[in-house]
Amino acid sequence: MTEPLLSMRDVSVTYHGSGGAVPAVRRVSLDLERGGSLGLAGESGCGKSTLANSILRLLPPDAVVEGQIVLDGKDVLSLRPGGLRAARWTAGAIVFQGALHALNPVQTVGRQIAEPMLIHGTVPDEEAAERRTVELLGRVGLPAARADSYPHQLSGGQRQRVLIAMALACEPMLLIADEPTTALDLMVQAQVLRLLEELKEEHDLTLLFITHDLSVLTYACRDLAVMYAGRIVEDGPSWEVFGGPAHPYTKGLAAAFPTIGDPSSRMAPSGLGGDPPMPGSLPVGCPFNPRCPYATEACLEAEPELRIAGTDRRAACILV
Amino acid sequence: MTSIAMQRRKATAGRVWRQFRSSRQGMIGLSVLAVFVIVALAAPLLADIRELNPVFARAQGNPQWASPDQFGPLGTDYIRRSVWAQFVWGSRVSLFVGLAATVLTIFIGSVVGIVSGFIGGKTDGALMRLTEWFLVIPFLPLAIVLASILGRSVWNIIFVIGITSWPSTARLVRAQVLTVKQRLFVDRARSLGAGGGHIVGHHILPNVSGLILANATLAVPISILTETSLSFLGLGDPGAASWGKTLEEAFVNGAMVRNAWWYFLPAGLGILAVVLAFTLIGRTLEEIANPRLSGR
Amino acid sequence: MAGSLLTLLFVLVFNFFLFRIVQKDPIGSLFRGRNVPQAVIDNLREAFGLDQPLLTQFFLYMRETFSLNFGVSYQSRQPVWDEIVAAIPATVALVGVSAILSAVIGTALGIVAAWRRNTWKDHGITSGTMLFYSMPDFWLGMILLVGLAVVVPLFPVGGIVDAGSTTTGLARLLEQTYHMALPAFTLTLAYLGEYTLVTRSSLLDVMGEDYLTVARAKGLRDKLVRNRHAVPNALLPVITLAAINFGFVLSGAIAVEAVFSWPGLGKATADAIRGPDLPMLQGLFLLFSAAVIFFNLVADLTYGFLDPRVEDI
Repeated sequence: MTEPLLSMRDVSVTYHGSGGAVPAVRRVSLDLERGGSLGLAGESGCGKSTLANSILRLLPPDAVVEGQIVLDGKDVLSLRPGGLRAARWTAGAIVFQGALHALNPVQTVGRQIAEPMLIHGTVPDEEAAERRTVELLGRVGLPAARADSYPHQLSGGQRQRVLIAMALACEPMLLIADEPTTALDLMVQAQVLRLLEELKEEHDLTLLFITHDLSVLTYACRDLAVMYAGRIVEDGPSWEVFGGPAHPYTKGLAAAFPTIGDPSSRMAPSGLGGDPPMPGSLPVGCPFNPRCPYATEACLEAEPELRIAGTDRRAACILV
Repeated sequence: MTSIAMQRRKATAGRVWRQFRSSRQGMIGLSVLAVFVIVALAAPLLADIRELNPVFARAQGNPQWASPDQFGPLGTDYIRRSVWAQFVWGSRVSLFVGLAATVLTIFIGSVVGIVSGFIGGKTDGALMRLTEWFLVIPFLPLAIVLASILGRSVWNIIFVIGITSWPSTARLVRAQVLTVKQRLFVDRARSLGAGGGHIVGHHILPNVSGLILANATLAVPISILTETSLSFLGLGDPGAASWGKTLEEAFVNGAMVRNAWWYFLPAGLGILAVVLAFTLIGRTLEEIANPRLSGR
Repeated sequence: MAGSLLTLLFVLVFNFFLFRIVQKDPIGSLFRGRNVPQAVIDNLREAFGLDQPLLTQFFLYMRETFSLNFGVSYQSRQPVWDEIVAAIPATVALVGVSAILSAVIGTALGIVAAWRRNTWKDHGITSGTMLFYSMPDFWLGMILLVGLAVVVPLFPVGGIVDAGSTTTGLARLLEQTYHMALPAFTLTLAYLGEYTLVTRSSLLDVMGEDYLTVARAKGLRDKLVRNRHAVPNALLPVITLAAINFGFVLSGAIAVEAVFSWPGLGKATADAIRGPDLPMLQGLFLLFSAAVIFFNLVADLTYGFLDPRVEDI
């Protein structure tokens, strides 16, 4: 068995802000094989983006990361600043969310795409960087002239494509896509998803895909992990998890995103009432118990660990 | 209903005070300011007002240009007057002009801002044009020209500062009124048949008063510094010796060449301390009114 | 552009009424108590058309203003415009140098303070600049003058050259520079606080932006993240501030010039106040306002040039 490209062991992230210690991610372990694809799902605030940013150590200084993260054989958390910078964007790159201000508003997108190549020396000179930028833009379906545009001159879909091109600049092994389809309209979402899938095949990329939209993940990823209150509560092969969720939270999440063309799922009430808990004040016992339709007395006692829920499947629920 | 509104206001005031008390910079500012307010109020107890009169000073047999160890506590000036007396009584004038000019500034600025934001349309357009124009006119030269034309008196200085420094307040208040108005339409206070006066009095004013207060606190330093500059340039009231006036007389009568530091240091330090105190208090109030700014 | 012209017109109208509010007979009061031939007064009266209706008067005033005729100074009996032109170079040199130095140093300090937020560096810079920002600039000048020219005589006490100096050429330039050092230092200290505070708060705003996380993720050094991505975005409001402050270059140093007897427009203003030399004050006021309007326009244009999001003005 080959060593996984990304391996996280008991990773916890705690923010030490002015309001005391807030645990955002709690003892998460996951492995991602080379060439594999893993989808990380959950509502906003469940810690999935924090977890993604911890892989390249991009968290603010008040965040403390514990556990072990191994990316391409390197122990990320013990890397020196120079080694860390060298690993960033080459071992793993991130497709940021285009709806956010992920692009510098006062620089042309061409310069921003070329920047990591010049930093890491993956191209000999600026001219080569320019050529490769045009090539990348072409690959994501944008005309070469777009290199001279400023971010505000692009549509949401075009900005997302630029961010994808940028992530590919240094031919990373791991591609972390953090909500790459959020805030795009449905047709553009589908185009971006197809593009990511094609690129994954072409470049033999390993994909870590993060979104709150379970149906998107099922489409894009082989495996799925569902996060709730900073922990993974269920994982397994995508279609199996989506088709037959073991954890009540996954059930609710799956019901929240109707399968297109299925009127019954549209009419069914969403399984998720209430709001996710604040990471600073988690409920006693299973953190999902206040929202869980199946909750019993036992759910108030202890937080359940992940347990086997079928072939290659695990879930953290006492009902499994 | 008034009692409920009163209680709510009291609760808000209590909350603001609790937040304020936990801010170190705010409490430092408040303490420094308190000292100067006490000095200004207790001026008659701290120094004989007749000490400001050169005839009296001569009759007392005060020495000329005496340093603090020759004549306590702060020495004398070129016409034998006690510098301590000038400092104590000057704090009254400087604080009074600073506060009164700020009240006028805030009053004009708030009225323009509220009218502009609340009525909108053409009135808004015209008032904002006027505001922009006043923002462009260089502030100190305008104050100088006005003060030169109007003559040298405390009230003219107050008027001049008020008339020249209201535009930034007007802009700030207008922006806040617009946000509040937006919220009001959601609350449907209007459709319930409330009149314009009621809306301004019960919805808009309470919501912008925090901002106005913070802005006022930050406007006091500008007023005090402007008064100081105008007085230094010889536009101060000859009958009311502010700190700026003391600095002018020290400068004109050669205190610097004599190295009579006791003459020009106290007044300047007084201005510095009061300005700093108001700035610290203002920044704290601003952080409370607008939490996004905290940690700045 | 059209806005600037309208503003200029406003200032002219404002000035027109300002100097006529309190004076029924501006020309008469111009020469109050002076020994001026009646013919000169009559000529000026006619030039300003004081016997004409208000509108005609306004057009005449505009005509005189645009031909730079602001009347005659009480104090020197010279045309106001000539007096002003003579004082411009000294002010531009002094305040220009101070404005540039304070902008550069103040911005640099603001960048350091924000990037190292809540460290001793930040606290030191913030409190230091607040201190200078809170004192009257002329008082700072007085203290520096006493300290560095009277007690420790390192610098001259005032003026632009030594009294009776006959130097020429390079020697004169050096002498002038030497005389300028202390007032320029004063103004630099007095101005830089504003740049530091604005830069710091603007950079703190930018520091939360996602594109900085992206830049870090790309493997950029901290310094490069700061200089290439954070600072260019944070500088926009600072550049506006600088352009606006440059508008105040001419009028910015009235009291400080007075302290150092620096023979510029500021000292001319301070001297005119003592008169009061109203024609001189009026001319200076118009010039100061025009400078501010001009640099506001420059600020708008630079902003459009620097920020690609602003496409038309």
